[in-house]
Amino acid sequence: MSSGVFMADDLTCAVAATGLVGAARQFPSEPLGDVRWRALLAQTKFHKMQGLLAAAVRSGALPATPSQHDEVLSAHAAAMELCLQLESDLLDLVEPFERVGVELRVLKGPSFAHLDYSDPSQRSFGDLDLLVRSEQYEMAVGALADGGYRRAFDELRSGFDRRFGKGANFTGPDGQRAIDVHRTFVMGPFGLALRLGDLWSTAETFRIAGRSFMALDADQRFLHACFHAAIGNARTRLVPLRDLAGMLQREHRPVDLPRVRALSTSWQSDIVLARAVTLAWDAFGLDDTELSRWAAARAPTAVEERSLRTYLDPDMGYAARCYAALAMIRGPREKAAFVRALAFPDRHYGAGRHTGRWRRWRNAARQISRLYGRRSRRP
Amino acid sequence: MTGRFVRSETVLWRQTFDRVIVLVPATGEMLTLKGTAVDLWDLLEEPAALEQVAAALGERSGVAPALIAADLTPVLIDLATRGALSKTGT
Repeated sequence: MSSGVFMADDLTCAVAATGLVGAARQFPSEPLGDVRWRALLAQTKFHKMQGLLAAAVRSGALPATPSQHDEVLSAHAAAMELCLQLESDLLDLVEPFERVGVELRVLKGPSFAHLDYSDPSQRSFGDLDLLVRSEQYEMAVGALADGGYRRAFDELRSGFDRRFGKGANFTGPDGQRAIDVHRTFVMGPFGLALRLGDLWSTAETFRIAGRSFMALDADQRFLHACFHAAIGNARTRLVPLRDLAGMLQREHRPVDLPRVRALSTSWQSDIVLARAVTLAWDAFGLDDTELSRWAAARAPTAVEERSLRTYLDPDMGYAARCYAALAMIRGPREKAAFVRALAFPDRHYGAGRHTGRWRRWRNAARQISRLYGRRSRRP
Repeated sequence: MTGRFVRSETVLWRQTFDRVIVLVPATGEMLTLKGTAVDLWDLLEEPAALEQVAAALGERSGVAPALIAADLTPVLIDLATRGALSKTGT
């Protein structure tokens, strides 16, 4: 049976819970029939959990036929080949970024795999996410363009990304592999409330192919996993939930929960933390802890509820999220620049996505009206 | 064969349940090691001479080290040529 929130059935949640201590999800005692196996394999690939499925099969927790066993090993190997190619892309990016003096933090995929999983082959990823400083954002974009990377979408207005955006998505020279360049975790109110200086005040390093890379510190990686889990997609993905639950169970360099709570409060994202933890506990059936009890009891304020809806309600979109973000922008000048960019974007912006300015405005007005109108249609 | 072999520090690799996948960034070549080659990769975390590797693999498999050494020589040379292994010392 499919859960509306998780876009995954109980069996897929059980795969995601592989390796977690105290997870209540169970596997069947016999190998799955072909139809269920195909569905599980497809879900596992969608959620990028081939390593966890392989671990579940290999340990015997999930019984499998010989052909299912072979299939999962092949799927895992294919996922790892992509991860290695992406890590090779990361190595290639170091030199052009260093040449122009752009400082990096590697986010999610490779950093979680190497720092937060006991075996990096358990964590698949499908793209690279890099954090750069706002003031170096345009230099980073220029370095990528010089390396043959192309933006997936035009910038709303020159300078908008650096001042107000999350960042931008780029496609590699081969037209396949992708890089997200971030200056904050997410666009919209929760991304603008985040105190970006905190992300650069500490770091943790990991090594690949003899080179050191900087990642966020363990507590901030946990919070980033929470952002990804709670508001990264309208329908929650299992991997970020598995990331955060695994981080909480890690014995070495444990997550410092008082610091996490202090950071989330200062980033005005307590509700993001609470939602992520609640979703993880629901997905994996974990035993209650002080954190999960706090999260379950933490109800959103009216403002938080509206902000969450701009990420989660399928009737909302970019306009509603930007409208909700306005409250987080400090100073009348900055607010005016933000509104001006939204109302009068550069001529090339939205080519192929909007048929005209009037239609864009009308669509935006509808979203904002819905935001203050009826109740949430949050999935 | 003289010298000691070790995994190249500049390669990317992952070990799964039945294989080791190695990507050599300098050439873009992806190598898949299976069976005994997985044990070989495991042993070459630290530099080792052919005789040491053959002895260790012989202990694991029960095959005479001299026989293993004969099979191993071209494999080590091939992996070093492709950049997956480094050869150190004499």
